[in-house]
Amino acid sequence: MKKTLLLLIGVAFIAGCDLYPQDDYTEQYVVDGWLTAMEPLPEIRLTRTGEISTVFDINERGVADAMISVSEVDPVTGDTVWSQLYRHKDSGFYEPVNTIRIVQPNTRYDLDISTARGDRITAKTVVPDTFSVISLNADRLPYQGPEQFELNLTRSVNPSRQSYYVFSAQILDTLNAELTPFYANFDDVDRSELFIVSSGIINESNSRQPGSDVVDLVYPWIGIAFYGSTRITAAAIDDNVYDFIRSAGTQLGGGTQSPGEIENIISNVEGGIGLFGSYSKVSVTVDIEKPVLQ
Amino acid sequence: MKLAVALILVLFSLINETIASDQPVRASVSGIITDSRTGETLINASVVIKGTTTGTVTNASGFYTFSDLRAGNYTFQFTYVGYQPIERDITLVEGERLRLDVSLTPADFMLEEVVVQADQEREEARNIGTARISTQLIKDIPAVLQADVFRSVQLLPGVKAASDFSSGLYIRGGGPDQTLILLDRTTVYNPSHFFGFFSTFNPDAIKDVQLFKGGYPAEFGGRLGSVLNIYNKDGNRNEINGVVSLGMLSSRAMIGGPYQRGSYMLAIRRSTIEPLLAALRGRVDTVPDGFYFYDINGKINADLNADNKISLAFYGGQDNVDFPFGDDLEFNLVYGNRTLSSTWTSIRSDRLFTSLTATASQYFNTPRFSFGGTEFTRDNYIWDYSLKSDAEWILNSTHAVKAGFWLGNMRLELNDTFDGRPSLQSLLETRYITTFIQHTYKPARTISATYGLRTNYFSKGDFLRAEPRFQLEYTPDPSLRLQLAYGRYYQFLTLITNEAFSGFDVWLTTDRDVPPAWGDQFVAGAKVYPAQGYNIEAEVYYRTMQDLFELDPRAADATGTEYAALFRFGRGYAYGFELLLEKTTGRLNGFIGYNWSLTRRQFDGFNANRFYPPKYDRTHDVNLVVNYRLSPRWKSTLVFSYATGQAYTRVLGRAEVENPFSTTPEQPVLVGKVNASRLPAYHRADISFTREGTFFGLGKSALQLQIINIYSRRNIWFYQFDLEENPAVQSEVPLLPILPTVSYTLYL
Repeated sequence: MKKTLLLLIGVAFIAGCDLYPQDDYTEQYVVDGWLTAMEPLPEIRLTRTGEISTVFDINERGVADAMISVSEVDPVTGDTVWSQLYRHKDSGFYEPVNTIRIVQPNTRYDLDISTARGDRITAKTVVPDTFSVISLNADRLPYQGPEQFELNLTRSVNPSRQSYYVFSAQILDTLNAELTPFYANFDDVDRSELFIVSSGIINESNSRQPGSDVVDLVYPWIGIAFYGSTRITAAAIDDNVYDFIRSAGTQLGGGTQSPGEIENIISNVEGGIGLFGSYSKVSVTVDIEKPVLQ
Repeated sequence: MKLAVALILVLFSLINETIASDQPVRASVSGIITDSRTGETLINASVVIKGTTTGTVTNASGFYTFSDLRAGNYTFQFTYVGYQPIERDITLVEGERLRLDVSLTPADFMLEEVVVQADQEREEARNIGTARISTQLIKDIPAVLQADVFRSVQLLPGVKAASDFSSGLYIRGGGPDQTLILLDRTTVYNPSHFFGFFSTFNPDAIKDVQLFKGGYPAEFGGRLGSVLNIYNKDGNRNEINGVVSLGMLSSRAMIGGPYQRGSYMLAIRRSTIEPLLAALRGRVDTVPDGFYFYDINGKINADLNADNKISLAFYGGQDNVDFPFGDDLEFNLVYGNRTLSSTWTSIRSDRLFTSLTATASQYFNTPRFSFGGTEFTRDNYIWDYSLKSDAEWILNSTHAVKAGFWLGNMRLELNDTFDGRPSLQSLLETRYITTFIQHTYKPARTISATYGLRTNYFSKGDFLRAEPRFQLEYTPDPSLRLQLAYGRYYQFLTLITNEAFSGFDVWLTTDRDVPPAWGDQFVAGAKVYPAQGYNIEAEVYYRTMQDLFELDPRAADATGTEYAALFRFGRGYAYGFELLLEKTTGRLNGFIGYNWSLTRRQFDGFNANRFYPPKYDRTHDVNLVVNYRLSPRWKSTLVFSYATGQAYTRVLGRAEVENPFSTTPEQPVLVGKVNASRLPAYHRADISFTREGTFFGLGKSALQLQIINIYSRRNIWFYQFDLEENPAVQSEVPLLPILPTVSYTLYL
């Protein structure tokens, strides 16, 4: 009887214990680096996270005393082809030292950061293949007219998977442009947040017929926030950008997760969070005409 | 497979042995138990041979049978909850096969003396892991806006609700897709209205609601967790009757009656909230331009003769909502279900009962978004056609065998368009064949063992799986039943849903590289009847979940993605203890249910591969339901619920990362372990008062006043963060406030 009682007490004790305790906040390094094919190596920013209950100012969260390098790496041998050192500018921004190196498509780049505290942060990216515009059906169209902007693009070829794209529209005259009705409809709209409107991730299969080498993009009117001269950009993204965007999106809720069930973003950064990713892009400039009222 | 062969060999050796030794020609008694007022067959009614421990319960067609009886005098006692028990004295001669159909009289609408008389009744037999809920209780329980089957089921121990806004059933650690919902033997894929706020089942049309919470027998399958088995009413076989009920959200009408060959029933429910929406439109944001839902239940029964009956049952329901959110933004959603089933039941002999059912089930949702001149459309359909048959063979008092098959073809179609062009196109078509055989063996009056095997073939992915099931019951005393159960269960479907909104639900199947989920369940229980009208039930359970597959919440565009890459794969387990104290008779009756439980899930690449509690996991869960008849005209029902706060993920920190595809930077948040924190405890009390009367001599009536959340507890649904504020501001999203409702029902 005593043994049974002890067993029951033990079970009750274990049941009462919280075997899955919540974590305490731990500060982490945040990497912010976006490489663009055929453009110079970008600035890299290194900051720290802030506790949710405190005032967060990104400019005060910069890490100034880190050693940063970006290296081109042979994907087969893993040997470093060259290594580019960075130096601190301000607020955690680092810029390449002296030389200007152009980011090459289909090339692997490794990020290596050592902090004064002795922490090490690493990440790598393979830059997507470049692609180009084959044709654009019109450079000027009335908003929501019978015809839409249609871009024919060559493929950004990825040997291991279909390509992932993000399409965006950026208004060029930010001061004078007038919002389109859909966006003007929102009461508390912040115009500056709409200067660039992007699509989210679109798989290549959405815009390419099987067997075709042409990506056919019909630009949806929902992606146009302003009348006027607009830069439409198609960007093929690497795995890191893909993971970052899709995981950051689910933190906002919706989808299949229960409200309040949140997961950290997928960073693919060892020793920190954030993004060290790459993309290749093409752009065209078009003019969105305000329709004439009948 | 070896296990299957072994089970079948054991079964036939036991049966052969019994038949060989069954030399004397014994008598038998069989029949159908019905409601005397309506002629409806009564499912799970109890029949006991008085003075013995021999008893049985009626099957889904109200049929019971006793075989292997010696010649002599017997007193048969027939009971059913809410009905006056009756006894029949009979004399059997050797070899006699007596047909004894019985009608029981309902005890409702009667005065206290009669109800007290009903104290004599014996609670119907309950198998392990099962629970029944009466349609009267469903109507009496205070419910938000209208009586609801699922909301009532959520009060049973072991069943949890995700929130005040969800009627989804979370049973013993399983999500809503782990419960098979059957209406007249037909699968219903999205049994919700109002985006999940309440279920599709009209309480006026429902005859019986039986829940198998776990460890369920071989005759059911297809889901990892549980089965909710619902039957429509057959219709009044004695006279035409009807019910009309006016409510704030919806109104209902039901008519049933006899015709020369049988009976019919037709029930219609439709939303009546449109006038309220019209009044709010223009004053309150996000009031839909149009909204309605309806459902229609119908059933026709034809008696070919005393032993053969055919029924045709149908259900159709849909929700339709139009939201113009402003200029250039419109949303329309139509979703619903249709089911059709036809069943032929046949009493082949006093020992053999068969049923054959053809079913058709359709689920659809077709959302349409039009925003900024760009249209998104989805056409999501499930068509499920099947044929199923069961045979119950009662060899003698020692052996009973039940066997059957269920085969069908399921087609799941999902077609999306964006901006006028096809985007996602998916067609999953599969055939399924399931068979089962189960043997109930009663070597002694105190011991009963039911074991069986269910086999499943699912053509999508080419999977063949076997599921052994086992139940053991020991009844040392008529007032005590000890039960054990074990079962293996497979599930070939998964549901894409959101607990806050079920209108977009999409089902997906297994396929190559997406194997079926499976799990084992172990249940042990005790049922005690300490005094007339009192029940105590206690059960412990442990269950595993393997190869769980569900849509990866971080999956981006699915177009062109390999099917298996859309899913995340995981595992889980759950265990718990349930206690039910029930008083079934008298002016004051009701039950209190307590559930202590733990549920954990783990998915590869999620939460650092750690097990975590899903949001609906609650350690303690208490529900109290009290019915009290205040006077012959007035009655009241009180419901009090308490539960440990739900799990949520605490936001610990924040970061900022530039985004070249946006003007504003990304602001990812830093979280700790997923769902490692708990919301404050949930508690709520609801009360209803019902005044029964007559409506100008036309018929009986019931005016029902209900108050939901009588002390206006602001339970929290979840926390949200506003990162535009600095520091970030956490705010609470509350559940339902105090909410009074009124309804009026007329029984014609």
